[in-house]
Amino acid sequence: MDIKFNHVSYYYNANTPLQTVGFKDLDFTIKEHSFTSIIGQTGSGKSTLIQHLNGLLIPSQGEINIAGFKIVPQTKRKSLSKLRSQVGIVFQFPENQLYESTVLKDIAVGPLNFGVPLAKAQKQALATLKLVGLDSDLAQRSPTELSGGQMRRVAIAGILVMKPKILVLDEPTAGLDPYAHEEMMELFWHLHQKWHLTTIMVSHSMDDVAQYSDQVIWLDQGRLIQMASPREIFTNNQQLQMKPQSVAFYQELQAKGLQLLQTPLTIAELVTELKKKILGTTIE
Amino acid sequence: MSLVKVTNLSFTYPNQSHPALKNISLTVPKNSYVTIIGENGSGKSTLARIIGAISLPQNGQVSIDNLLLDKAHLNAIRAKIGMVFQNPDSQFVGSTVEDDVAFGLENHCFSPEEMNEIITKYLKLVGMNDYRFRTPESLSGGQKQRVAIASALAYRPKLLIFDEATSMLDPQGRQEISKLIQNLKLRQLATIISVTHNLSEALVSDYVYILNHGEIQGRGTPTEIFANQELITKNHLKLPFTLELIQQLKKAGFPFENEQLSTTELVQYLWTLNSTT
Repeated sequence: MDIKFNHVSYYYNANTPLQTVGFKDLDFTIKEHSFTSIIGQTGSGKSTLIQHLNGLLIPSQGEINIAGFKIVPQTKRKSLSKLRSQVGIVFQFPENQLYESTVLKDIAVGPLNFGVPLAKAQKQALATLKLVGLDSDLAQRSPTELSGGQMRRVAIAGILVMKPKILVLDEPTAGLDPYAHEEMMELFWHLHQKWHLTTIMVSHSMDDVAQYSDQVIWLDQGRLIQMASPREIFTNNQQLQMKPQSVAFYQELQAKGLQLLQTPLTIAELVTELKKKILGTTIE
Repeated sequence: MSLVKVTNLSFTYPNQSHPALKNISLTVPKNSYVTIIGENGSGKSTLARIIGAISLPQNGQVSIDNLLLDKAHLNAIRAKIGMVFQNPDSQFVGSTVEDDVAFGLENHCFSPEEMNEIITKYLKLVGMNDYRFRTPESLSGGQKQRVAIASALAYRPKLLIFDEATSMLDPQGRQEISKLIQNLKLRQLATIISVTHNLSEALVSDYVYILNHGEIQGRGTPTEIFANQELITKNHLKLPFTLELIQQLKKAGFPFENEQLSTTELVQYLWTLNSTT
Protein backbone atom coordinates (compact mmCIF):
# COMPACT_ATOMS: atom_id res chain seq x y z
CA MET A 1 0.00 0.00 0.00
CA ASP A 2 1.36 3.45 -0.91
CA ILE A 3 2.00 6.10 1.71
CA LYS A 4 0.07 9.29 0.96
CA PHE A 5 0.61 12.75 2.42
CA ASN A 6 -2.35 14.93 1.56
CA HIS A 7 -1.54 18.63 2.19
CA VAL A 8 -0.05 17.85 5.59
CA SER A 9 1.29 20.57 7.89
CA TYR A 10 2.74 20.30 11.35
CA TYR A 11 3.22 23.16 13.82
CA TYR A 12 5.20 22.87 17.02
CA ASN A 13 3.31 24.46 19.95
CA ALA A 14 0.26 24.85 17.70
CA ASN A 15 -2.19 27.61 18.65
CA THR A 16 0.18 29.18 21.15
CA PRO A 17 2.29 32.34 20.78
CA LEU A 18 5.32 30.04 20.41
CA GLN A 19 3.93 28.29 17.32
CA THR A 20 6.66 27.38 14.80
CA VAL A 21 6.42 25.51 11.51
CA GLY A 22 7.69 21.91 11.52
CA PHE A 23 6.72 21.56 7.88
CA LYS A 24 4.05 23.01 5.67
CA ASP A 25 1.66 21.65 3.04
CA LEU A 26 3.51 18.42 2.20
CA ASP A 27 1.74 16.63 -0.61
CA PHE A 28 3.29 13.48 -2.05
CA THR A 29 2.97 9.72 -2.50
CA ILE A 30 5.60 7.15 -1.58
CA LYS A 31 5.08 4.00 -3.66
CA GLU A 32 4.87 0.66 -1.91
CA HIS A 33 8.19 -1.29 -2.01
CA SER A 34 10.12 1.79 -3.09
CA PHE A 35 13.34 3.08 -1.50
CA THR A 36 12.86 6.77 -0.76
CA SER A 37 15.42 9.14 0.68
CA ILE A 38 14.68 12.41 2.44
CA ILE A 39 17.37 15.07 2.16
CA GLY A 40 17.69 18.60 3.48
CA GLN A 41 19.75 20.74 5.82
CA THR A 42 19.42 20.64 9.59
CA GLY A 43 16.05 22.23 10.41
CA SER A 44 14.45 21.34 7.09
CA GLY A 45 11.75 19.21 8.73
CA LYS A 46 13.16 15.72 7.99
CA SER A 47 12.94 14.45 11.56
CA THR A 48 9.51 15.98 12.08
CA LEU A 49 8.35 14.22 8.94
CA ILE A 50 9.51 10.75 9.94
CA GLN A 51 7.92 11.05 13.36
CA HIS A 52 4.58 11.24 11.54
CA LEU A 53 5.12 7.84 9.93
CA ASN A 54 4.25 5.86 13.06
CA GLY A 55 2.08 8.40 14.82
CA LEU A 56 4.66 9.79 17.24
CA LEU A 57 3.45 13.15 15.95
CA ILE A 58 -0.05 13.82 14.66
CA PRO A 59 -0.46 16.36 11.82
CA SER A 60 -1.86 19.81 12.56
CA GLN A 61 -3.54 19.89 9.14
CA GLY A 62 -4.15 17.47 6.30
CA GLU A 63 -4.32 13.69 6.10
CA ILE A 64 -1.79 10.84 6.04
CA ASN A 65 -2.60 7.39 4.69
CA ILE A 66 -0.15 4.73 5.79
CA ALA A 67 -0.39 0.92 6.11
CA GLY A 68 -4.19 1.02 6.15
CA PHE A 69 -4.36 3.80 8.73
CA LYS A 70 -5.78 7.25 8.15
CA ILE A 71 -4.19 9.92 10.33
CA VAL A 72 -5.88 13.33 10.64
CA PRO A 73 -5.50 16.08 13.30
CA GLN A 74 -8.32 14.47 15.36
CA THR A 75 -6.66 11.03 15.42
CA LYS A 76 -5.74 9.82 18.91
CA ARG A 77 -2.20 8.51 19.30
CA LYS A 78 -3.49 5.54 21.27
CA SER A 79 -5.45 4.28 18.27
CA LEU A 80 -2.19 3.91 16.32
CA SER A 81 -0.41 1.27 18.41
CA LYS A 82 -0.98 -1.38 15.72
CA LEU A 83 0.60 0.98 13.18
CA ARG A 84 3.79 0.87 15.25
CA SER A 85 4.16 -2.86 14.68
CA GLN A 86 4.16 -2.22 10.92
CA VAL A 87 6.38 0.86 10.77
CA GLY A 88 9.84 0.33 12.25
CA ILE A 89 11.85 3.47 12.88
CA VAL A 90 15.60 3.23 13.45
CA PHE A 91 16.50 6.54 15.05
CA GLN A 92 19.92 8.20 14.96
CA PHE A 93 22.48 6.49 17.18
CA PRO A 94 19.95 3.80 18.19
CA GLU A 95 22.63 2.09 20.30
CA ASN A 96 22.00 4.79 22.94
CA GLN A 97 18.58 3.27 23.51
CA LEU A 98 19.71 -0.20 24.56
CA TYR A 99 18.83 -0.79 28.21
CA GLU A 100 18.20 -4.50 28.91
CA SER A 101 20.75 -6.68 30.71
CA THR A 102 21.36 -8.99 27.74
CA VAL A 103 21.37 -8.61 23.98
CA LEU A 104 18.63 -11.21 23.58
CA LYS A 105 16.33 -9.51 26.11
CA ASP A 106 16.80 -6.18 24.40
CA ILE A 107 15.82 -7.52 21.00
CA ALA A 108 12.79 -9.36 22.44
CA VAL A 109 11.27 -6.23 24.02
CA GLY A 110 9.14 -5.36 20.98
CA PRO A 111 7.46 -8.76 20.48
CA LEU A 112 6.86 -9.10 24.25
CA ASN A 113 5.16 -5.69 24.30
CA PHE A 114 2.88 -6.88 21.54
CA GLY A 115 1.90 -9.99 23.51
CA VAL A 116 4.14 -12.63 21.92
CA PRO A 117 4.88 -15.44 24.47
CA LEU A 118 8.39 -15.37 25.96
CA ALA A 119 9.77 -18.52 24.32
CA LYS A 120 8.58 -17.45 20.89
CA ALA A 121 9.82 -13.88 21.36
CA GLN A 122 13.27 -15.17 22.30
CA LYS A 123 13.34 -17.47 19.30
CA GLN A 124 12.45 -14.55 17.04
CA ALA A 125 15.10 -12.41 18.74
CA LEU A 126 17.78 -15.02 18.18
CA ALA A 127 16.87 -15.37 14.50
CA THR A 128 16.98 -11.60 14.08
CA LEU A 129 20.38 -11.43 15.79
CA LYS A 130 21.75 -13.69 13.05
CA LEU A 131 19.91 -11.72 10.39
CA VAL A 132 21.81 -8.55 11.27
CA GLY A 133 25.08 -10.45 10.99
CA LEU A 134 25.88 -11.02 14.66
CA ASP A 135 27.04 -14.26 16.20
CA SER A 136 24.50 -16.05 18.43
CA ASP A 137 27.26 -16.22 21.10
CA LEU A 138 26.52 -12.57 21.77
CA ALA A 139 22.91 -13.28 22.81
CA GLN A 140 23.62 -13.58 26.54
CA ARG A 141 26.19 -10.75 26.70
CA SER A 142 25.39 -7.31 28.04
CA PRO A 143 24.92 -4.81 25.21
CA THR A 144 27.43 -2.51 26.93
CA GLU A 145 30.23 -5.03 26.35
CA LEU A 146 29.85 -4.80 22.59
CA SER A 147 31.60 -2.49 20.16
CA GLY A 148 29.73 0.54 18.83
CA GLY A 149 29.04 -1.14 15.49
CA GLN A 150 27.73 -4.29 17.17
CA MET A 151 25.52 -2.28 19.54
CA ARG A 152 23.97 -0.51 16.58
CA ARG A 153 23.20 -3.86 14.97
CA VAL A 154 21.52 -5.05 18.17
CA ALA A 155 19.37 -1.90 18.25
CA ILE A 156 18.43 -2.43 14.61
CA ALA A 157 17.57 -6.08 15.33
CA GLY A 158 15.18 -4.78 18.00
CA ILE A 159 13.28 -2.98 15.23
CA LEU A 160 13.51 -5.72 12.59
CA VAL A 161 12.23 -8.42 14.97
CA MET A 162 8.79 -6.84 14.57
CA LYS A 163 8.90 -7.69 10.83
CA PRO A 164 7.88 -4.18 9.81
CA LYS A 165 6.48 -3.57 6.34
CA ILE A 166 7.79 -0.04 6.34
CA LEU A 167 11.33 0.60 7.55
CA VAL A 168 12.36 4.16 8.40
CA LEU A 169 16.07 4.91 8.84
CA ASP A 170 17.30 8.15 10.40
CA GLU A 171 21.00 8.60 9.54
CA PRO A 172 21.69 4.88 9.90
CA THR A 173 25.42 5.11 9.14
CA ALA A 174 26.32 8.19 11.22
CA GLY A 175 29.56 7.64 13.15
CA LEU A 176 30.48 4.32 11.49
CA ASP A 177 33.84 3.74 9.84
CA PRO A 178 33.74 3.47 6.02
CA TYR A 179 33.76 -0.32 6.02
CA ALA A 180 31.03 -0.71 8.67
CA HIS A 181 29.09 2.00 6.81
CA GLU A 182 29.10 -0.02 3.61
CA GLU A 183 28.16 -3.24 5.44
CA MET A 184 25.26 -1.49 7.16
CA MET A 185 23.89 -0.14 3.88
CA GLU A 186 24.26 -3.57 2.27
CA LEU A 187 22.25 -5.06 5.13
CA PHE A 188 19.39 -2.58 4.61
CA TRP A 189 19.48 -3.06 0.85
CA HIS A 190 19.37 -6.83 1.25
CA LEU A 191 16.37 -6.60 3.62
CA HIS A 192 14.66 -4.05 1.43
CA GLN A 193 14.67 -6.54 -1.43
CA LYS A 194 14.15 -9.77 0.49
CA TRP A 195 11.28 -8.52 2.66
CA HIS A 196 9.79 -6.30 -0.07
CA LEU A 197 9.99 -3.38 2.31
CA THR A 198 9.02 0.19 1.74
CA THR A 199 12.20 1.88 2.95
CA ILE A 200 12.45 5.54 3.87
CA MET A 201 15.89 6.91 4.74
CA VAL A 202 16.98 10.26 6.07
CA SER A 203 20.64 10.71 5.22
CA HIS A 204 23.41 13.23 4.84
CA SER A 205 25.40 10.72 2.82
CA MET A 206 24.53 11.70 -0.73
CA ASP A 207 26.54 8.74 -2.03
CA ASP A 208 24.07 6.38 -0.32
CA VAL A 209 21.10 8.47 -1.43
CA ALA A 210 22.30 8.30 -5.04
CA GLN A 211 23.17 4.62 -4.94
CA TYR A 212 20.07 3.17 -3.29
CA SER A 213 17.07 5.44 -3.77
CA ASP A 214 14.29 5.19 -6.32
CA GLN A 215 13.19 8.65 -5.40
CA VAL A 216 14.35 11.58 -3.31
CA ILE A 217 12.28 14.00 -1.26
CA TRP A 218 14.14 17.29 -0.90
CA LEU A 219 12.96 19.47 1.97
CA ASP A 220 14.04 22.98 2.83
CA GLN A 221 12.71 24.94 5.81
CA GLY A 222 9.71 22.67 6.10
CA ARG A 223 8.74 22.89 2.42
CA LEU A 224 8.93 20.27 -0.28
CA ILE A 225 11.35 21.66 -2.88
CA GLN A 226 11.35 18.67 -5.19
CA MET A 227 10.49 14.98 -5.31
CA ALA A 228 12.27 13.17 -8.12
CA SER A 229 14.72 10.39 -9.00
CA PRO A 230 18.24 10.90 -7.64
CA ARG A 231 19.50 11.45 -11.19
CA GLU A 232 17.06 14.31 -11.73
CA ILE A 233 17.79 15.83 -8.34
CA PHE A 234 21.56 15.79 -8.78
CA THR A 235 21.56 16.74 -12.48
CA ASN A 236 19.29 19.73 -12.30
CA ASN A 237 20.32 21.32 -9.04
CA GLN A 238 23.95 22.30 -9.46
CA GLN A 239 23.59 24.70 -6.54
CA LEU A 240 22.75 21.84 -4.13
CA GLN A 241 25.61 21.85 -1.65
CA MET A 242 25.14 18.21 -0.73
CA LYS A 243 25.99 15.93 -3.59
CA PRO A 244 27.48 12.51 -4.25
CA GLN A 245 31.27 12.56 -4.69
CA SER A 246 31.04 11.36 -8.29
CA VAL A 247 28.63 14.22 -9.09
CA ALA A 248 30.98 16.76 -7.48
CA PHE A 249 33.83 15.35 -9.55
CA TYR A 250 31.76 15.43 -12.71
CA GLN A 251 30.90 19.09 -12.09
CA GLU A 252 34.63 19.86 -12.07
CA LEU A 253 34.98 18.06 -15.41
CA GLN A 254 32.01 20.02 -16.77
CA ALA A 255 33.60 23.29 -15.64
CA LYS A 256 36.54 22.41 -17.91
CA GLY A 257 34.13 21.63 -20.75
CA LEU A 258 34.09 17.84 -20.56
CA GLN A 259 30.49 16.67 -20.93
CA LEU A 260 29.26 13.12 -20.29
CA LEU A 261 26.01 11.55 -21.56
CA GLN A 262 24.44 11.43 -18.11
CA THR A 263 25.25 12.61 -14.59
CA PRO A 264 27.16 9.73 -12.94
CA LEU A 265 25.68 8.93 -9.53
CA THR A 266 28.30 6.42 -8.43
CA ILE A 267 32.00 5.86 -8.98
CA ALA A 268 31.14 2.84 -11.19
CA GLU A 269 28.89 4.97 -13.41
CA LEU A 270 31.57 7.66 -13.58
CA VAL A 271 34.15 5.12 -14.78
CA THR A 272 31.72 3.66 -17.36
CA GLU A 273 30.81 7.10 -18.72
CA LEU A 274 34.43 8.25 -18.87
CA LYS A 275 35.40 5.07 -20.66
CA LYS A 276 32.68 5.61 -23.26
CA LYS A 277 33.63 9.23 -23.68
CA ILE A 278 37.43 9.05 -23.68
CA LEU A 279 38.58 5.50 -24.46
CA GLY A 280 35.60 4.77 -26.70
CA THR A 281 36.74 7.29 -29.27
CA THR A 282 40.30 5.90 -29.24
CA ILE A 283 39.10 2.47 -30.34
CA GLU A 284 37.07 3.92 -33.19
CA MET B 1 62.67 16.38 18.09
CA SER B 2 59.81 14.16 19.08
CA LEU B 3 57.04 15.44 21.32
CA VAL B 4 55.42 12.07 21.89
CA LYS B 5 57.30 8.84 22.32
CA VAL B 6 55.45 5.56 22.86
CA THR B 7 57.53 2.44 23.59
CA ASN B 8 56.11 -1.11 23.73
CA LEU B 9 52.76 0.06 25.05
CA SER B 10 50.12 -2.56 25.86
CA PHE B 11 46.74 -2.08 27.47
CA THR B 12 43.91 -4.43 28.46
CA TYR B 13 40.53 -3.25 29.77
CA PRO B 14 39.23 -4.83 32.98
CA ASN B 15 37.29 -8.08 32.37
CA GLN B 16 38.51 -8.37 28.79
CA SER B 17 40.49 -11.34 27.57
CA HIS B 18 42.03 -9.57 24.57
CA PRO B 19 44.31 -6.57 24.93
CA ALA B 20 43.04 -3.35 23.34
CA LEU B 21 46.65 -2.40 22.52
CA LYS B 22 49.58 -4.72 21.92
CA ASN B 23 53.18 -3.61 21.96
CA ILE B 24 52.72 -0.22 20.32
CA SER B 25 55.80 1.88 19.56
CA LEU B 26 55.63 5.20 17.78
CA THR B 27 56.99 8.73 17.81
CA VAL B 28 55.35 12.02 16.92
CA PRO B 29 57.78 14.80 15.92
CA LYS B 30 57.20 18.32 17.22
CA ASN B 31 54.79 20.41 15.14
CA SER B 32 53.87 17.48 12.93
CA TYR B 33 50.37 16.32 12.03
CA VAL B 34 49.97 12.60 12.54
CA THR B 35 46.84 10.59 11.78
CA ILE B 36 45.97 7.24 13.30
CA ILE B 37 43.46 5.30 11.22
CA GLY B 38 41.69 1.99 11.69
CA GLU B 39 38.18 0.58 11.83
CA ASN B 40 35.79 0.73 14.81
CA GLY B 41 37.26 -1.32 17.63
CA SER B 42 40.84 -1.25 16.33
CA GLY B 43 42.16 0.30 19.55
CA LYS B 44 42.80 3.74 18.12
CA SER B 45 40.67 5.62 20.67
CA THR B 46 42.32 3.71 23.52
CA LEU B 47 45.68 4.84 22.18
CA ALA B 48 44.44 8.44 21.96
CA ARG B 49 43.17 8.30 25.54
CA ILE B 50 46.51 7.06 26.84
CA ILE B 51 48.56 9.59 24.90
CA GLY B 52 46.03 12.17 26.12
CA ALA B 53 46.83 11.13 29.72
CA ILE B 54 43.26 10.04 30.45
CA SER B 55 44.36 6.47 31.15
CA LEU B 56 47.80 5.41 32.30
CA PRO B 57 49.80 2.79 30.38
CA GLN B 58 49.86 -0.70 31.95
CA ASN B 59 52.93 -2.01 30.15
CA GLY B 60 55.47 0.00 28.24
CA GLN B 61 56.22 3.69 28.35
CA VAL B 62 54.75 6.90 27.06
CA SER B 63 56.56 10.20 27.28
CA ILE B 64 55.16 13.59 26.35
CA ASP B 65 57.50 16.54 25.94
CA ASN B 66 60.23 14.59 27.75
CA LEU B 67 58.04 13.78 30.75
CA LEU B 68 57.29 10.16 31.51
CA LEU B 69 53.57 9.51 31.72
CA ASP B 70 53.02 8.18 35.25
CA LYS B 71 51.05 9.25 38.33
CA ALA B 72 53.69 11.76 39.39
CA HIS B 73 53.66 13.63 36.07
CA LEU B 74 49.97 13.29 35.30
CA ASN B 75 49.00 16.90 36.00
CA ALA B 76 52.09 18.37 34.37
CA ILE B 77 51.39 16.33 31.24
CA ARG B 78 47.68 17.08 31.16
CA ALA B 79 48.49 20.80 31.13
CA LYS B 80 50.30 20.26 27.85
CA ILE B 81 47.43 18.51 26.10
CA GLY B 82 44.18 19.63 24.52
CA MET B 83 41.62 17.05 23.40
CA VAL B 84 38.64 17.25 21.08
CA PHE B 85 36.25 14.32 21.27
CA GLN B 86 33.72 12.69 18.96
CA ASN B 87 30.39 13.91 20.30
CA PRO B 88 29.84 17.66 19.81
CA ASP B 89 27.09 17.69 22.45
CA SER B 90 28.89 16.00 25.31
CA GLN B 91 31.88 18.36 25.46
CA PHE B 92 30.09 21.70 25.45
CA VAL B 93 30.19 22.83 29.08
CA GLY B 94 29.44 26.56 28.88
CA SER B 95 26.00 28.12 28.53
CA THR B 96 27.29 30.22 25.62
CA VAL B 97 30.14 29.93 23.15
CA GLU B 98 32.15 32.50 25.08
CA ASP B 99 31.59 30.72 28.41
CA ASP B 100 32.68 27.45 26.93
CA VAL B 101 36.10 28.81 25.95
CA ALA B 102 36.38 30.71 29.25
CA PHE B 103 35.72 27.55 31.28
CA GLY B 104 39.11 26.01 30.52
CA LEU B 105 40.90 29.30 31.17
CA GLU B 106 39.39 29.95 34.57
CA ASN B 107 41.76 27.49 36.20
CA HIS B 108 44.78 29.22 34.74
CA CYS B 109 44.75 32.52 36.64
CA PHE B 110 44.27 34.94 33.75
CA SER B 111 42.96 38.44 34.38
CA PRO B 112 39.50 39.20 32.87
CA GLU B 113 41.16 41.39 30.21
CA GLU B 114 43.61 38.69 29.27
CA MET B 115 40.82 36.13 29.15
CA ASN B 116 38.75 38.31 26.90
CA GLU B 117 41.70 38.77 24.58
CA ILE B 118 42.46 35.04 24.44
CA ILE B 119 38.81 34.13 23.84
CA THR B 120 38.56 36.61 20.96
CA LYS B 121 41.80 35.37 19.45
CA TYR B 122 40.85 31.71 19.40
CA LEU B 123 37.20 32.18 18.44
CA LYS B 124 38.43 34.23 15.49
CA LEU B 125 40.90 31.51 14.61
CA VAL B 126 38.12 28.90 14.34
CA GLY B 127 35.71 31.36 12.68
CA MET B 128 33.24 31.48 15.58
CA ASN B 129 33.72 34.98 17.01
CA ASP B 130 30.42 36.14 15.48
CA TYR B 131 28.65 33.42 17.47
CA ARG B 132 30.18 34.43 20.78
CA PHE B 133 26.93 34.90 22.68
CA ARG B 134 25.05 32.03 21.09
CA THR B 135 23.86 29.01 23.07
CA PRO B 136 24.88 25.46 22.09
CA GLU B 137 21.35 24.50 20.92
CA SER B 138 21.52 27.09 18.16
CA LEU B 139 24.76 25.71 16.70
CA SER B 140 25.34 22.95 14.18
CA GLY B 141 27.54 19.96 15.07
CA GLY B 142 30.42 21.41 13.05
CA GLN B 143 30.13 24.75 14.83
CA LYS B 144 30.16 23.06 18.24
CA GLN B 145 33.32 21.19 17.27
CA ARG B 146 34.92 24.51 16.26
CA VAL B 147 34.15 25.87 19.71
CA ALA B 148 35.62 22.71 21.26
CA ILE B 149 38.80 23.31 19.24
CA ALA B 150 38.97 26.97 20.37
CA SER B 151 38.49 25.84 23.99
CA ALA B 152 41.27 23.28 23.65
CA LEU B 153 43.65 25.76 22.01
CA ALA B 154 42.95 28.60 24.43
CA TYR B 155 45.32 27.39 27.12
CA ARG B 156 48.02 26.76 24.49
CA PRO B 157 48.58 23.03 24.65
CA LYS B 158 51.69 21.65 23.02
CA LEU B 159 49.75 18.64 21.82
CA LEU B 160 46.26 18.67 20.37
CA ILE B 161 44.51 15.31 20.08
CA PHE B 162 41.40 14.77 17.96
CA ASP B 163 39.56 11.58 18.84
CA GLU B 164 37.25 10.95 15.87
CA ALA B 165 36.30 14.61 16.03
CA THR B 166 34.55 14.55 12.65
CA SER B 167 32.81 11.18 12.71
CA MET B 168 29.46 12.43 14.05
CA LEU B 169 29.29 15.40 11.66
CA ASP B 170 27.54 15.67 8.31
CA PRO B 171 29.83 15.79 5.24
CA GLN B 172 29.87 19.58 5.21
CA GLY B 173 30.80 19.81 8.90
CA ARG B 174 33.43 17.12 8.40
CA GLN B 175 35.04 19.08 5.59
CA GLU B 176 35.03 22.31 7.62
CA ILE B 177 36.76 20.69 10.56
CA SER B 178 39.31 18.88 8.37
CA LYS B 179 40.22 22.20 6.75
CA LEU B 180 40.51 23.84 10.16
CA ILE B 181 42.87 21.11 11.39
CA GLN B 182 45.06 21.63 8.30
CA ASN B 183 45.08 25.33 9.01
CA LEU B 184 46.21 24.74 12.62
CA LYS B 185 49.00 22.58 11.29
CA LEU B 186 50.13 25.30 8.86
CA ARG B 187 50.26 27.84 11.65
CA GLN B 188 52.23 25.37 13.79
CA LEU B 189 50.00 26.10 16.76
CA ALA B 190 50.49 22.65 18.22
CA THR B 191 51.57 19.14 17.41
CA ILE B 192 48.49 17.35 16.13
CA ILE B 193 47.43 13.74 16.52
CA SER B 194 44.14 12.90 14.87
CA VAL B 195 42.46 9.56 15.34
CA THR B 196 40.05 9.25 12.46
CA HIS B 197 38.35 7.02 9.95
CA ASN B 198 38.14 9.84 7.47
CA LEU B 199 40.86 8.80 5.05
CA SER B 200 40.79 12.11 3.21
CA GLU B 201 42.12 13.56 6.43
CA ALA B 202 44.95 11.04 6.56
CA LEU B 203 45.81 12.04 3.00
CA VAL B 204 46.74 15.60 4.04
CA SER B 205 48.61 14.67 7.23
CA ASP B 206 52.40 14.30 7.53
CA TYR B 207 52.47 10.73 8.73
CA VAL B 208 49.95 7.91 9.05
CA TYR B 209 49.69 4.93 11.40
CA ILE B 210 47.25 2.12 10.65
CA LEU B 211 45.94 0.33 13.71
CA ASN B 212 44.01 -2.93 13.71
CA HIS B 213 43.34 -5.49 16.46
CA GLY B 214 45.36 -3.30 18.82
CA GLU B 215 48.52 -3.48 16.76
CA ILE B 216 50.23 -1.15 14.32
CA GLN B 217 49.76 -2.74 10.91
CA GLY B 218 51.32 -0.04 8.79
CA ARG B 219 53.11 3.27 9.02
CA GLY B 220 54.34 5.79 6.50
CA THR B 221 53.71 9.00 4.66
CA PRO B 222 50.23 9.23 3.08
CA THR B 223 51.82 8.59 -0.33
CA GLU B 224 53.44 5.39 0.91
CA ILE B 225 50.33 4.21 2.75
CA PHE B 226 47.85 4.83 -0.05
CA ALA B 227 50.13 3.25 -2.65
CA ASN B 228 49.87 0.00 -0.71
CA GLN B 229 46.55 -1.43 -1.91
CA GLU B 230 46.99 -4.66 0.00
CA LEU B 231 47.53 -2.85 3.30
CA ILE B 232 44.42 -0.73 2.75
CA THR B 233 42.16 -3.66 1.87
CA LYS B 234 43.54 -5.96 4.55
CA ASN B 235 42.72 -3.40 7.22
CA HIS B 236 39.16 -2.79 6.04
CA LEU B 237 39.95 0.75 4.96
CA LYS B 238 38.66 2.53 1.92
CA LEU B 239 40.69 4.76 -0.36
CA PRO B 240 39.67 8.43 -0.54
CA PHE B 241 37.42 9.12 -3.53
CA THR B 242 39.99 10.43 -6.01
CA LEU B 243 42.48 7.61 -5.36
CA GLU B 244 39.70 5.02 -5.62
CA LEU B 245 38.58 6.57 -8.91
CA ILE B 246 42.14 6.37 -10.27
CA GLN B 247 42.33 2.68 -9.34
CA GLN B 248 39.03 1.94 -11.06
CA LEU B 249 39.95 3.95 -14.15
CA LYS B 250 43.21 2.02 -14.32
CA LYS B 251 41.29 -1.26 -14.23
CA ALA B 252 39.05 0.07 -17.00
CA GLY B 253 42.10 0.59 -19.21
CA PHE B 254 43.13 4.20 -18.58
CA PRO B 255 46.91 4.62 -18.59
CA PHE B 256 48.40 6.19 -15.43
CA GLU B 257 52.06 6.99 -14.86
CA ASN B 258 51.34 8.55 -11.48
CA GLU B 259 48.57 6.94 -9.44
CA GLN B 260 48.52 9.56 -6.70
CA LEU B 261 47.04 12.60 -8.39
CA SER B 262 45.03 15.23 -6.57
CA THR B 263 41.45 15.87 -7.67
CA THR B 264 42.49 18.92 -9.71
CA GLU B 265 45.32 16.97 -11.33
CA LEU B 266 42.99 14.10 -12.23
CA VAL B 267 40.44 16.49 -13.77
CA GLN B 268 43.28 18.08 -15.78
CA TYR B 269 44.57 14.65 -16.84
CA LEU B 270 41.16 13.43 -18.03
CA TRP B 271 40.52 16.70 -19.83
CA THR B 272 43.88 16.49 -21.61
CA LEU B 273 43.31 12.84 -22.49
CA ASN B 274 39.90 13.72 -23.90
CA SER B 275 41.21 16.59 -26.02
CA THR B 276 44.06 14.53 -27.49
CA THR B 277 41.93 11.55 -28.49
